[in-house]
Amino acid sequence: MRKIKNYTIWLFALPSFVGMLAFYFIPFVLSFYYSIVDNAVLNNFVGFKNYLDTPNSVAFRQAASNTVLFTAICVPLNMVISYLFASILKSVHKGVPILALIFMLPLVIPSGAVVYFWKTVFSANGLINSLLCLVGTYPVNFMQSSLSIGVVMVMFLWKNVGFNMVLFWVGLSRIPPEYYEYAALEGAGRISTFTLVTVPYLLPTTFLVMLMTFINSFKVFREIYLLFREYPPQYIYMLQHYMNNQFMAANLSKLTSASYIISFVFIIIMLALFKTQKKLSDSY
Amino acid sequence: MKKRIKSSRIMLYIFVVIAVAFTLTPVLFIVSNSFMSGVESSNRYTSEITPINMQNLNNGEIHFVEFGFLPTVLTFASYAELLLNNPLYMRLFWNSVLIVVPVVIGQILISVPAAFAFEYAKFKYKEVIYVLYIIVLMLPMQVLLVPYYIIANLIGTNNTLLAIILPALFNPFGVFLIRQQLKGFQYECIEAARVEGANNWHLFMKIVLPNLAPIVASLSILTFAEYWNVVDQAVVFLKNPFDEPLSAYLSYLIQGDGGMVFTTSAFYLFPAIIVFMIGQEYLAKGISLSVVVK
Repeated sequence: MRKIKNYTIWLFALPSFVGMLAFYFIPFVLSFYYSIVDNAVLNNFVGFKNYLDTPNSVAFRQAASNTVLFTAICVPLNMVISYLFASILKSVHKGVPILALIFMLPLVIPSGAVVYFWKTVFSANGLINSLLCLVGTYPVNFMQSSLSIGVVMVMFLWKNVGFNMVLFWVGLSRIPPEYYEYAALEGAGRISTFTLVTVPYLLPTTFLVMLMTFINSFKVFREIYLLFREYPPQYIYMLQHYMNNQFMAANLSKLTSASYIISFVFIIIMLALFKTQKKLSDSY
Repeated sequence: MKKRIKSSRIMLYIFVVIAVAFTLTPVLFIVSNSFMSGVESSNRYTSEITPINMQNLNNGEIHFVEFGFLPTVLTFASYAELLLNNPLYMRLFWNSVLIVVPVVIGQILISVPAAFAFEYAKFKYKEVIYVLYIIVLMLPMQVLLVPYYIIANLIGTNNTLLAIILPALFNPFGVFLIRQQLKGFQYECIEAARVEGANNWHLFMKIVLPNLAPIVASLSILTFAEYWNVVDQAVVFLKNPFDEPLSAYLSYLIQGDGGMVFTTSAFYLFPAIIVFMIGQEYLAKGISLSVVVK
């Protein structure tokens, strides 16, 4: 494919370039300075000490393990549920636009506007506990125990499944039905129809859904913050809390070293992800 | 055979009804409870035993929330409080508007041409630059706190809404979304226009832009939803509580027991629903078009 060979086209990207440099790339590089001094007031050079201290601090480890746990469970779970629901809804023929509208709604609802609902449902004297008491079992402390991460997952899935389901739904509806007919004629079973027709056609959708879910999984901080403010129970103390609290305490050295470590991990994850995508789309 | 089809149809309807109910319940709960008087809602949803809610309790029982959708007495009193009596809410609401409007407009003006350049320019390292964009897109906002802080200090926007707005204008999400869509375009079409002597400006305005309407609408809705929901940036960058957007202030109300939280929440989700309704027909279409089948 031949591309346009003149440089005036870059004028279109100029505002974006300038903004990215000024607000993201240059300050990010500059911030490296804070990570090699002991604190932002005295500015004594300490080398890579912060890079050794940060991963060893209890708070950072707790935050990192919670975040990894949450992302590792929620991203795949969200995708599987969205796909399953979409494949069930594929056989709905009436009222499709209105259903799509309803299922996409949670994504645009501001987090703060529905958090109080989840609080009424899950709090110690909330709806679920009142039902548990009715059937004669003991109430469960959802909000302050290790179950709290489950509560956060419910909030996350409520917000994201619908939209992703609609994306899969549209993706599935675009696979030409002849392909399935042909597969059936050739005597393909359910599994081989899935791997040979559905998977290759749904790959771009799947990748987009995965990327968006991954990005959104870090925004769950909002829900947690709205529920508990700065200090949530230890089970849902995320990296985002760690970094926020370091910032509020003006602990820029710890914060920047953590930022650099996290960015490094992200770059590795992302390169792996894109390699996989390329490999998959080449193999089909 | 026919019977089986019929029963699977019924199962499907049951599934749809449950899914719709699960999706809508939180929203309906908030909206319907917003017409409750403050006294009633705080007595129903508090964790404490109050002189009013203890009337329904036996000795030694704990007070569970009285979960429900219908207020005993329908009242607009808390809406009057929100809109007329207490100026705080309107001020914070206005802060939210001041954030979201420039960000949506800026995102469109900046990222649409940038995506055009990324897709059609010929430059050896453009994919390298693009990967840097995607990395910024994927990083949690908190990783960039210090960079945001450095630049805000430098240009003096610390503690103002601009500290949130300016970086948001350049959020790479728009470039990513629009470029995904452009990848599905027929390159021959662009080629033909060039052969006819169209310059980049004509190409952009006459050929590319008119085809981008659905995805630009989708971008607007998603950006609106994202920045109408500002919490993380607000809690670190705005020291003065009166500068906060309403989305962040809700965290104070949520700590309490009922009362204004329903009305404020319901009022705050209303504009999001309006924007969504206006652009919804493009949303699924625009996003799904950006999923390229090559």
